[in-house]
Amino acid sequence: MKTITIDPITRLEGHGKITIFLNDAGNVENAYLQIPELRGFEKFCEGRRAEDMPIITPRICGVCPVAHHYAATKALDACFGVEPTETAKKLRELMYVGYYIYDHTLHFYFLGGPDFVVGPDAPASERNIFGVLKRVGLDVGREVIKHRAYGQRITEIIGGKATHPTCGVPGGISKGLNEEERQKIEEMARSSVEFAKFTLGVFNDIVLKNKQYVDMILSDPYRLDAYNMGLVDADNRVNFYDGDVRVTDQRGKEFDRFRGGEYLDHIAERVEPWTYSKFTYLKKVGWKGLTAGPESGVYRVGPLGRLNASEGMTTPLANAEYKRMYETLGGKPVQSTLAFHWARLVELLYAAERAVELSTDPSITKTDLRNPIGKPGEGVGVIEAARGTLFHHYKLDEDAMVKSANLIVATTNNYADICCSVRDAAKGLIKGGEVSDGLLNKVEMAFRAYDPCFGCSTHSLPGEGPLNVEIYDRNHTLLKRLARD
Amino acid sequence: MRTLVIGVGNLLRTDDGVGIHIINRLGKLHPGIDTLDAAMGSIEIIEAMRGYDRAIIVDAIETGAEPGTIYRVNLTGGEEPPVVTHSHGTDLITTLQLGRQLFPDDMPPEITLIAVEAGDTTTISDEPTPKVQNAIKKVLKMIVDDIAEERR
Repeated sequence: MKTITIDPITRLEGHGKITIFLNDAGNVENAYLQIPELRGFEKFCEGRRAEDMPIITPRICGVCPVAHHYAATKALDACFGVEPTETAKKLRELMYVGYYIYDHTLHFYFLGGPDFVVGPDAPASERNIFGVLKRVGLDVGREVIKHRAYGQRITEIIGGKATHPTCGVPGGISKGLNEEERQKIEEMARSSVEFAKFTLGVFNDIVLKNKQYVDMILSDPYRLDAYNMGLVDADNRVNFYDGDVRVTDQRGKEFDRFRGGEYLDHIAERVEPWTYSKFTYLKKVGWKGLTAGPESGVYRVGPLGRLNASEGMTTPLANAEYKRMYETLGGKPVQSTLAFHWARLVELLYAAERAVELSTDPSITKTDLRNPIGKPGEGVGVIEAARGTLFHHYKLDEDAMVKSANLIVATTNNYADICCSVRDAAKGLIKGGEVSDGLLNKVEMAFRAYDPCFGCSTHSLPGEGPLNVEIYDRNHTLLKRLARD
Repeated sequence: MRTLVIGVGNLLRTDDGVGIHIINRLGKLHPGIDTLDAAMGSIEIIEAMRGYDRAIIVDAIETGAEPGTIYRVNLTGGEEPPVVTHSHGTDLITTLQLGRQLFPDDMPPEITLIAVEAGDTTTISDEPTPKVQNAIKKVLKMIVDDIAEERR
């Protein structure tokens, strides 16, 4: 048996390792994604002051700081039995869509987009942001940097700091918005709508007008019939900041619906000995291993999970694009993993449009910023991180110190899906021992579509390229090593 | 001469947070020095560096050397740069190359990487190991002396 190891995987946030086992015929026997993630963060939180949690948790990895900040803040709202004021809710959401603008922009142009814009078979040295800029032009590159900075600036104006916000407090927010700041945000939000429309145009011209790409998106190796999960409002429209957790089945029908505080009745966790990360599954269905379908409790979160679990977007342009996506890809749910990229851009447009709506809301500059809190207790905060549903669950003692904390992060929710997608892509694409650079990249594409985040690790210098492919024979003797930059 | 000191790393992963510890102390000791907590060190540093004459990037590194070893690498460009593998979205060299390509007139003419060899990056803690704590003091002095020299 041969073993192929892709470690660390290129262009993802954090480190992971894909190992592919070939049988004697050179076909894929199985494939695993191992996450060398550190554990123990929950332990680190114990004994800390409740109000420190929104400051500490964004430091977990720095990729989704705003999501952790507000999952923590919302958990504290629940712990202290307080509803934030209307103005505070709007400000939190406005800041939150700023985070989506910069996060989704990064993924399309830097992480996931190069596979399409430059091409899945292009040499690895060109399949990156420079290859993208060669295709779309340097002016577009400047727009990318500008709008990523706009998203960060929006979060900074409201949050105090762009990367590690400090504004969320139980019952509200620590600082309001003045008219001058509001105008700045409105201007950046309007520009971001144009930028999102432009980006969807790029996606349309380069990906959707290319039959080969559309066929690849819809092909079997990239399909996974999982359940889908996301937060929705009362009308089942996508909401990043608040709402019910809705789960839809393989036919697109509502399967489950619950409030964040009830998550333990609906989601269970499973530990496997070969990886540090846990797997989550729907309790009502049960764990059937790394497999999808109605009998398996595996569910998908993130942009595609959210869109599949909803019935539309609340803003007009994003909703039109939502409809177009389902019309083009054969109706709901879309179970093609590579459709994550389109779903992510629908959300980018929604985030920008929502930023315009909120920044032009006449009450956004009001000063009712905080409601008085109750006695400390237990609470859950749920929010849609860019990569999927995120749960924070704290128990506080009578002095408001953290007795216990449990976090279920987006990539944990998606971990079983990612494992299945990587394995199925490997099985469908690698045949007869042929393992080319392009084929391995196509296996990675199944993985990259989820925009997984495994937390930050350290860096090395000087070193080899970030991707090592190792091929072993059945006795685990190294036959060949390929290193890619 | 305007200098920006950028800290990169994860404050909660023991020695990986060395860059952030350094800029936090620098900010307190010398409020006149511009600092940036870039955490992931992703492409936002391009926007942050624009208009500065010099940028100093402080980060943790793992090469297998003695923990606390300090490296100083000139990233100003011209020569083939060393490979700097970076786990936070996009690597440092790519980021700097991109900045120079997009904003050739605005990027600092001088960019230096100061990297400190990490001993432990797997324990969740906001306290660096003793050898890295010693290195923090040395790097702080290095940066302050450097900037004082420039201002003279």
